[in-house]
Order: sequence, then C-alpha cells, then structure tokens
Amino acid sequence: MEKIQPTEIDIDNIDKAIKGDQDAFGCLYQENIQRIYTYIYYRTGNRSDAEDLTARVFQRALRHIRTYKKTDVPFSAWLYRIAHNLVANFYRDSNRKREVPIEEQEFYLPQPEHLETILIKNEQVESLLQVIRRLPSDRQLVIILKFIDDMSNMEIAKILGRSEGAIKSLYHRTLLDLRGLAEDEKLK
Amino acid sequence: METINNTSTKGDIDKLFENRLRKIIKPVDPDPSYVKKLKKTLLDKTEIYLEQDNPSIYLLILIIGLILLIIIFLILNKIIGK
Repeated sequence: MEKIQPTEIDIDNIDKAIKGDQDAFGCLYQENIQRIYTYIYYRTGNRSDAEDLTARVFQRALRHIRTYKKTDVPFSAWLYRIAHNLVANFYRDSNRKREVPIEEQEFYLPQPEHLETILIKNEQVESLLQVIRRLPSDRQLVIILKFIDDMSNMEIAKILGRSEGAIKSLYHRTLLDLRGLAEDEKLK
Repeated sequence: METINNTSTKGDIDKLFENRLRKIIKPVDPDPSYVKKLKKTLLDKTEIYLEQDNPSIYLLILIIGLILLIIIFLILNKIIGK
C-alpha cells in the first residue's frame, strides 16, 4: 500500500476536489479505497459491513470535502478519522457486539507467497484477529495504522489528536496486552 | 514461523510477536466490482449547480418596477384630471 505522505499530484487532486472537481475526487477515492476498506474490514470482521461502511465514509468525505484543511492532517488521515467515527457509531447505534460468531466470520488470509506465510496456521490467525477485535477502538486503529499503512507515531498522533509520546506508549501497551491475550488463548 | 526459545530476551519476544502480527495484518482487497460500483455511485450523481447571485436580475426588477410605477402614475393622473 502506498505511503500516507501526500505527493504533489495528491495535493493537486485535493485542491481540485475541494473546488468540486469530481474526477479529482475519483483519483483520491482510488488511492484510498483499499486502506479504508482494510481498516473497516478488520474492525467489523465481515465484508458486507465493511462495504457498507466504506461507502458511507466516501459519501461523507464527498459531502464535506470543502471543510477539509490541508494543513491539519493528510487526506488519508482525514478519511481514517471519518471511518473511525462511523465504525464507533455503527457499534453504538446498533448495540452490535464486537465479536461476531466464529461461523459467521470471514477471515482474510495472506496469499501464500512464501513458506513462512503458508506455515501460519489458519486457526492461529483467526484467534489473533479475534483478540485484536476485542481491543478498544483507538488501540485497534493504532495497530492497523502501524501494520497496514506503516505510519509513524507522529502521523497516528495527528489522526487521534494526541501527542507522539502518548501514541508510542499506547502502541507499546497494546502490544503487551495483545501478547498477554494471545498467550491466554494459547496461541503460542 | 519464528519459535521462541529459552534464550530469547524480552526485546526479542516483542519483536517476534510484532513480526507475527505483521504477517497476519495485511491489506485486504475489496471486491473490484464493488470498488467500481461505489465510484460510479459517488461520481455519477446529478451535477450540483451552485446558485450564484446575478446582479443584472436586480437591475431588471428595478427597471420593471419603475416602468410600472410611471404607468400607474400616468393612469391615476388621467383619471384624477378628468
């Protein structure tokens, strides 16, 4: 996945999209759809909800693009914020439980590109993903931004509106908790 | 997959766990037909036309108003003059 730092083309597209250029918004959509979908997919655990919420993220972004300020956060970070809020509303409004029954869950498994990947047992992957979904939403976001977008603590801090140090500490605590939970689940 | 042996330090264990997570948490590809359909839905909406103030319309209303006033004045003047 492309790095979150905006290029000159991105900046140009953002400017045009703010002025109402739909093609420019289309380019921004194309660049960000996978990362937003991935984030929501990991949060919800199924493709149907991920598709529904991803659509809502981009609809909201299109409606409010004029309120986006370039100096504030990168465009993808702005989309992550929208996604984060929508997923939170999704669980709050419907009182959905975060844990989807195992038989209803669809898990993404990495493509078997090399031997090591093949050796990761599906059961372990499923259990670990379940453990991740039990984390508080901000911690899930930190984990996903770290591993999917390879973001720095500073970039994550901008999205969550916290200090870089707070994110560093949150990430460390999250890893510790995850490891503890994973050990509890006898993943190791 | 990495194994954690007895000589591993705490830092090593953290790194191994991080590596394991890195292997599991990968970008997920949405269905290409969904991506295409959503893009179409987002961008093929009817175009939004912004209403803009047109100063000439106000001038036209003012002129029509003045003409009407003059006509009314002339009619009333004729009626009263009789």
